[in-house]
Amino acid sequence: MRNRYLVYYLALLIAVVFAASCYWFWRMTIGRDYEVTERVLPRLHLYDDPAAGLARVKIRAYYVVPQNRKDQIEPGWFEQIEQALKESVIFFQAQFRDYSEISYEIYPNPVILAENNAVYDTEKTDHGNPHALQRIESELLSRGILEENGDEIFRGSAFIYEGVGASGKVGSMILSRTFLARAEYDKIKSSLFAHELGHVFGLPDRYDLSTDISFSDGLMGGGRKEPIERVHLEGDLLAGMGLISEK
Amino acid sequence: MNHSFTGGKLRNRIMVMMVLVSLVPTTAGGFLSIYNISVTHEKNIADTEESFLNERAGRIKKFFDDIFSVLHLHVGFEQTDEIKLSSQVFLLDQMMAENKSLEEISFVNMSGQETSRFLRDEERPSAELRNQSKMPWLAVVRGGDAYTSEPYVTRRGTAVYFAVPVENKNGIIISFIAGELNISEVVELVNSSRLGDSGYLILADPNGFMLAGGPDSKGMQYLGKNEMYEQVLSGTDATGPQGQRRYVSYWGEKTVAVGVYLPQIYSALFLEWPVREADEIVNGLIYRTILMFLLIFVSVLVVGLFLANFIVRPIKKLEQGTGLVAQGKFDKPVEITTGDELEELGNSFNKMMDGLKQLRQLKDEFVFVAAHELRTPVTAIKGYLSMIEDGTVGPVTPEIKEFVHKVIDANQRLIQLVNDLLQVARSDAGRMEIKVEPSDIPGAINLVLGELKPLALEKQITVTYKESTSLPRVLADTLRLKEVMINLVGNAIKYTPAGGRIEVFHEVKNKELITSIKDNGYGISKEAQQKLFEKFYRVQTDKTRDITGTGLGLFIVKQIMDKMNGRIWVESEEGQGSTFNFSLPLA
Repeated sequence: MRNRYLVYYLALLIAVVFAASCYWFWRMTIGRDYEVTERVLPRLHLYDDPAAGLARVKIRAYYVVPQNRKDQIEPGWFEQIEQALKESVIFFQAQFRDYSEISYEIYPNPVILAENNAVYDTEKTDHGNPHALQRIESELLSRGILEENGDEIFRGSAFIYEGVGASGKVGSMILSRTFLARAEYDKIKSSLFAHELGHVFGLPDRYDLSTDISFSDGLMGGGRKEPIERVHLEGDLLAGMGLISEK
Repeated sequence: MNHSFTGGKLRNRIMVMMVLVSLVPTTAGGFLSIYNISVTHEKNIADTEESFLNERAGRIKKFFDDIFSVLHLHVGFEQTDEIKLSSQVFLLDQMMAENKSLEEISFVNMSGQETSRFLRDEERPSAELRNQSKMPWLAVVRGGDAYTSEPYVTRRGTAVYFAVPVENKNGIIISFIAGELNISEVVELVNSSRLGDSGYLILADPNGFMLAGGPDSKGMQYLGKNEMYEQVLSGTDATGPQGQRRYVSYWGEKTVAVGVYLPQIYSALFLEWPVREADEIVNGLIYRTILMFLLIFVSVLVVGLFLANFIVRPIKKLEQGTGLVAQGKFDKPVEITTGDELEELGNSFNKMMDGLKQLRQLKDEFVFVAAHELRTPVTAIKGYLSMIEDGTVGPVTPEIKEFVHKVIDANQRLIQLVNDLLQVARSDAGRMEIKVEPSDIPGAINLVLGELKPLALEKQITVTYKESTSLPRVLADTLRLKEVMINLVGNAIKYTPAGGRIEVFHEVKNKELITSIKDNGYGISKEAQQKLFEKFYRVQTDKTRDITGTGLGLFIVKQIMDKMNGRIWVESEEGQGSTFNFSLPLA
């Protein structure tokens, strides 16, 4: 009786071994596991402020003219602003690796301020005249001209001022139109604009304010004085904006 | 032997053995081949990728080495002052002219102040000389080491910042050369590199961003995370069969990849090759091998089935032959023409069958002749015994008469045996004459019942015949029919105790006339019913032991019914009685 089924037992054993071998072989070759690359998308945000996302950004530029200079409005102000703004946006778009959608517009008409330039310029205009930025921003806010943040779009204001100014803070910047118009700044005007726009994103200066000596060659340091096509944004600043990993 | 649709056990066993013998080595060989092919293929892929990657990485390294070897100045004097301005301008101008990848280059004094500077696309030295004293790289080059930054992106292309010391003849650092190196040549090399049709390189910066490469050569994407990326970006190469990795890439495709670290720019160079191309050949080979194996498997099964059947067929023929022999049929020899031992076995079997046939013929002849020869003396014995009993030859005393009567009874049983043997012998020899014609049964039955009535009366057995008025005629030999009835009714009387009853009745069913003889006698056990119609079989129980008979009666009845195209069967319960039924076709 035992011998009668021996062949079948043997066949069954061989079939099991064969099936196990097939499975092992399939797992080693065609059916092997493949690690899936984790697609972690960076979440861009204001420098050092992860709560403030920068997935969508809108920059609005204003040509602001003190009361006493309303007759000296530069005819080509719109093109001047547009060129610098456009190049700055292109710059940041590239530096942000297209992880932020940046749009811009220019307020169509010059904004005539309520006071003369002396009020906004004050006596101390060093360090970029941040006083003018605050005064102008308050005034435009009270006049309802500024767009306010309320949705998922981060809104920044750029005031191109017919006076003295080159300063920025989170949400707004000021830059004298001089820097966009005068020949001596022609090669670096977009970089200067972009530098102040960097402050709108919360980026700090990378140069000594008193000595003007830079301690980085990126946009927030020495790069602000270089043609924008040669400029980059410092790696550690990008890390602070959530684009790359902190070292 | 099991002859089911799936084949007998021997055939199945032969088939399984054939399949095992042919498939086991084929399978083992196939597995080994595919395994070897697979292992060799893995190594080939790894070697190919490593070779390609190393060649590209070598070119990238050479790009930097060539430039830095020129930039790392060793002036041939011993002074520790910085180089004269005019010489600086000359050197920088030369360097810019010879190295188109330089975007800017400057001399920086030990205090960190640029002393001369050239920018690409500007013919004159730049007037903008910067104070680099607070730059983090200054401390590195002051220590005598060269410095390169992590790559960064500008509108003019991907670039790195570098600084190298300038040493005098005694190895003392006297100033520095710093600048920006456009690595678009490296980017272009990466973008344009292809392994096969779909393999591509990726140049990734230390933060995991693609600087160049990818399947669409666009770069500028975050690469994502996997084990390979993390390993290489941390500084450990992943090459060779051990370092090679398989993963689903950022673009969602299965790839096989290797990677090396580029220490000069803190970046990583990966080679990803989609497996649809990398494994195309080996996968095709594997699939074809598996397909071939399946074809072989099916072929072996089919061929094995035929071969097994072919081997087993002669054995089946022998089995059928033995069955016929068991039935006493010796006229159909087995035909086995395999040309081997099985054919010899078949021939021997046929000889054995011939011998058995002759033996049976001899036996039949002997029985016929013996029975025939015995008939005369037993008939004579009967005649003389009758004359003695009758007193024809003289007075016989009652005692002698009693003895003579016993001899007459014994002789009568001998006569019956001889007649039965003759009947059997005639039937076996095919000499039993049956004349089938439309016949009326009731007449024959009534005649038989009349003949046997004295026997029934002797045992006070009641015999009733339920004769139907309009019974159809049947196809039968009336004479043989009477023999059948004599036998069946005679048995019913013999095997029913005194005072019993016997009924004879008919039924028309399925174009047959069924005649039944039912008694309430001793009955027949189930085991005995199986052998009832065999030669010389007699039911042996306590109750039937003293009942005489030859054991040939029912055998003869069955032979007669078979020859008249009828049937005979019994229904019985031991102790309850028996019903013998026979059927004849309607005329």
